[in-house]
Amino acid sequence: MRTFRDLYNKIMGSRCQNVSLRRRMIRYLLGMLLLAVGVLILILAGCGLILNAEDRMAEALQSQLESVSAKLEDEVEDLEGYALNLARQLSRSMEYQMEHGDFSAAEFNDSAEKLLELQRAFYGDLNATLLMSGSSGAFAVTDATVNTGLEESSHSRSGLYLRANNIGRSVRIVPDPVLFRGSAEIAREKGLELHSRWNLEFDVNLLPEWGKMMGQDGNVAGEILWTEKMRLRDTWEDVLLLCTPIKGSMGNAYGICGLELSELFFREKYPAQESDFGTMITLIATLEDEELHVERGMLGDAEGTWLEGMETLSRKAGKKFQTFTSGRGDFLGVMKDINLPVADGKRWVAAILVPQNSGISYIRKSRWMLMAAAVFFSALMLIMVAHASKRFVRPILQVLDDIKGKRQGDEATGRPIAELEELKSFLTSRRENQKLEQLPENIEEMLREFKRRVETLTPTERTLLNYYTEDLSLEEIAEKMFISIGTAKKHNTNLNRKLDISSRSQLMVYVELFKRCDRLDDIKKQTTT
Amino acid sequence: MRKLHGTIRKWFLFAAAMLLALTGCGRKIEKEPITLSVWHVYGQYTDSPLNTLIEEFNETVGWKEGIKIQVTAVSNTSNIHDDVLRAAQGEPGAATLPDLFISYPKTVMAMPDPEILVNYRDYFSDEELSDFVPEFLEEGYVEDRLVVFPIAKSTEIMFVDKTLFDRFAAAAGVRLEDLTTWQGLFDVSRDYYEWTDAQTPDVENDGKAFFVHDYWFNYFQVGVESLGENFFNGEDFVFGNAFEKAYDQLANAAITGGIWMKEGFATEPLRTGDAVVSVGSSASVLYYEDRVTYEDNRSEAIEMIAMPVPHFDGGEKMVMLRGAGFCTVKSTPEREKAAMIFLKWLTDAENNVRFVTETGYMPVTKKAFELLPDAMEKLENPKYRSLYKAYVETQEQYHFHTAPKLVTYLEKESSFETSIRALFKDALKQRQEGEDPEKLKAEVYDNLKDKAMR
Repeated sequence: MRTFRDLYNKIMGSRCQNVSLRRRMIRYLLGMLLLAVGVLILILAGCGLILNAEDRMAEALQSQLESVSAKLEDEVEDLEGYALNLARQLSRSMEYQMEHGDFSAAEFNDSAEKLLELQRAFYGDLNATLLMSGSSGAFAVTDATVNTGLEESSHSRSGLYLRANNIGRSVRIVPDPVLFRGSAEIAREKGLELHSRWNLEFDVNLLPEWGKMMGQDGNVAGEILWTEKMRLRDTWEDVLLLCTPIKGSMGNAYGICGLELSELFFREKYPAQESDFGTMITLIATLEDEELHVERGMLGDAEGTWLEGMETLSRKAGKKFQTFTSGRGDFLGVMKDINLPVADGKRWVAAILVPQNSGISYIRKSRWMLMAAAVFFSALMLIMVAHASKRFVRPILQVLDDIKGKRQGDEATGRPIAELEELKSFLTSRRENQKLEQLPENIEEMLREFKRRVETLTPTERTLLNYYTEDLSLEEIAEKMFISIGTAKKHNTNLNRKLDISSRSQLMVYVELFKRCDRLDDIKKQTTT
Repeated sequence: MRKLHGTIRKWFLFAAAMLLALTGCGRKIEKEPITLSVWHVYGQYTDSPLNTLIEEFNETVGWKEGIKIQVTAVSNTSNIHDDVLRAAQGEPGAATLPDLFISYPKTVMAMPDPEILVNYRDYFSDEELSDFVPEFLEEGYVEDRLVVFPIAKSTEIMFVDKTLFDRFAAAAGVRLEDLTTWQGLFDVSRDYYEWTDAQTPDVENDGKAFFVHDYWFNYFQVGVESLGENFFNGEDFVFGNAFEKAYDQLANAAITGGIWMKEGFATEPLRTGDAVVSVGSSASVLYYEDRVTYEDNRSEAIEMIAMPVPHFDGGEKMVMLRGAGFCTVKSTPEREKAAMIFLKWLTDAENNVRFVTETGYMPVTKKAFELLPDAMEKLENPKYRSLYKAYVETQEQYHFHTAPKLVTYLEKESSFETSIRALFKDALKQRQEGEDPEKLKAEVYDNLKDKAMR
């Protein structure tokens, strides 16, 4: 408590002390400097040169892209692994059946019984692959048809196609297969629902990779190929198919098999990510002539955007991210090449997009906030500078008023400024000296008479007078003279009587007169000699 | 001082102008859509007509209002029932409930907390609701809250592969009129099995089924009620005279082989030529193709016609009213409002008629019913024209039966369906192995009763 009081007294005491004009000037300049910094921040933020929201957004998009690409690559690799393994299993099943039945692959043609038996053998492998691979469907097509006599037999091929029925609802746990292609007998035996657009056989004309895989155009069978997005006939679902040949032990192709990745499933696997700058959506697409063909690839969950997955987006490269435009809205995004083996060698990319509107809105909002803070800071500094300048000028004006005599002595406000006080005192004393040089005669007589009286004082009384001229109090004088206060009072009484004055203030008037006339030594000299 | 204030004001104006210029706030920011996820049953794997309508909504009203409807699953009510319950119970691995899903009140009743669904009375005025067919609305109430919103209603209809039927009729002298009663239909079924079996004398017991029913549970429920008895007594079945009569007529044909008792929907054996006539939801018209594909990959164009379901001699003409409705999961007021805008658009008379005539349903509002005759005139597909003709006959001659709202209804339905199919399949096999049909009939009845009572 005491410490606090001491501190308070010190502060309050300091207020009564003179303040240097230089300190005020430094305060003012500091305020100006901070104001300049505020304005600079405002301009730099406005131009996007500091604390840039675009950089933050680009970093977040890039990070999401890296994460999604890594996931995609892993999944593609897994699916390709499952497809190759499936092809090996199916090839073994076919060769086992041919060996035990002692017939060739061509003899599957026109034999409903052999093809049904083959489908029974295929079912286990396809179902297991569907369950484990994380795909939305698994299929196998053999190079045989149940009826070569039919007109469409040139492109109708027997096989089995299982699709997950519960995509979009609960496929993440266990796919619930339905029979899309294959003998209805298999569905009945295995308790499967028949797809409402079921067909007995595949139409390989709708499977562009069939010819390549079967080596019909001279290519070597054995590659993994992904199709572009295709609509499953008579349904509302779009899929990518991963195809691989069912190669026999002699290197020949018995047919093809593979896995299906439906867009609905892709949507479930790659949900839209909410972020400060809008919904981040994932897609894979082909990039051709600065156009992103989403209609050939897959679109993740596009919640919060108007994208449907059938668009072609025009790409415009940018510094930090690219702009993609379509009739369904404009987007900001980043993209990266992905390795997806396709028949036509097109460039595939994975991309992360955010709606341009929300992206720009985020950038603007960030700038707004930064600039609002800078404006607030600058405004504060401006007020401070205005206040400082006012405080800087006010005492000068006051001193001028004092000098001009426009102001009463008790009107003074604020702390006195050392330099100004000195100036004021200098100017005042000069004026007083000028006045004293022309003192009237009776004053001169008064001073002479006082001087004469001083000469009548005892040495002790002269010492007392000397201390009075130094503006010491009676208690201080008693202490300095090593006498009691009572003795000091006694000497004071004698002093007053001898000098013919009644109070100390009267004495001080004389002292001030001698001082102003620059003749203090006249009475001081007397006391010291 | 005034000068100083003036300077500050100028600074502020300059800063504000800079802010406006640099942040470009003069440009209009377009709103991204509220996306609502939907699970529905209209079309399943086919090119769903509701999906087409949703695309239209997204392009028009949705675009204007900032609403995008996103279909995340098209399945059937049974699958959606399971998945809704899994999601509502928060089962690990279950999907998140969509904003809108199609369901029957029985699914809502089985949910752990039906309060998570929007009460449509909060969003539809009395005047708006007064245009709906009252019976259709009534069905959507669960505990005095309107939670299942009707958008289309169906009934059971009989579909006939007329191409195959005519071929058989020419040989056996049967007529379509024979299919108007259950007894007539079952008699024809037995004849058909014998006739097809006789086509290959060297192969025994290779006759084909004639008739398939989507839900035998409905056959018994409506049959018993139409014969003047209750099918349910509380949560239990009533095995009375009416039940026995319905059973007796079916069993004679089923044990002979004329009835398809394998698992799956009624549409399946008709698409493979393994059956000729089916009874199922009128909405299954979407799944009947105009071709039949046989096991040797031959396919044949067929004519598919629709007729009212058969009735029992001496019984009332009665048919099951079907058709689930939309449930909306509570979310934010904006999302709920967006869902209501979509539902109001879908049940607008013109849109509703377009929707139902593409999916084989009945509309749900009085205004839409007024527009239906004109819409029927414009139907180009003969299968759909035949369906709506059968609809009109059904409406004129039949009494609609609504399934009771029992918590265990789905369980009972599923268990009864599985049991009766398995028992008759087994009985058919035994009959083909030489077992006495009458004995088998009695055994199946006892087993069915025993399982149902359990």
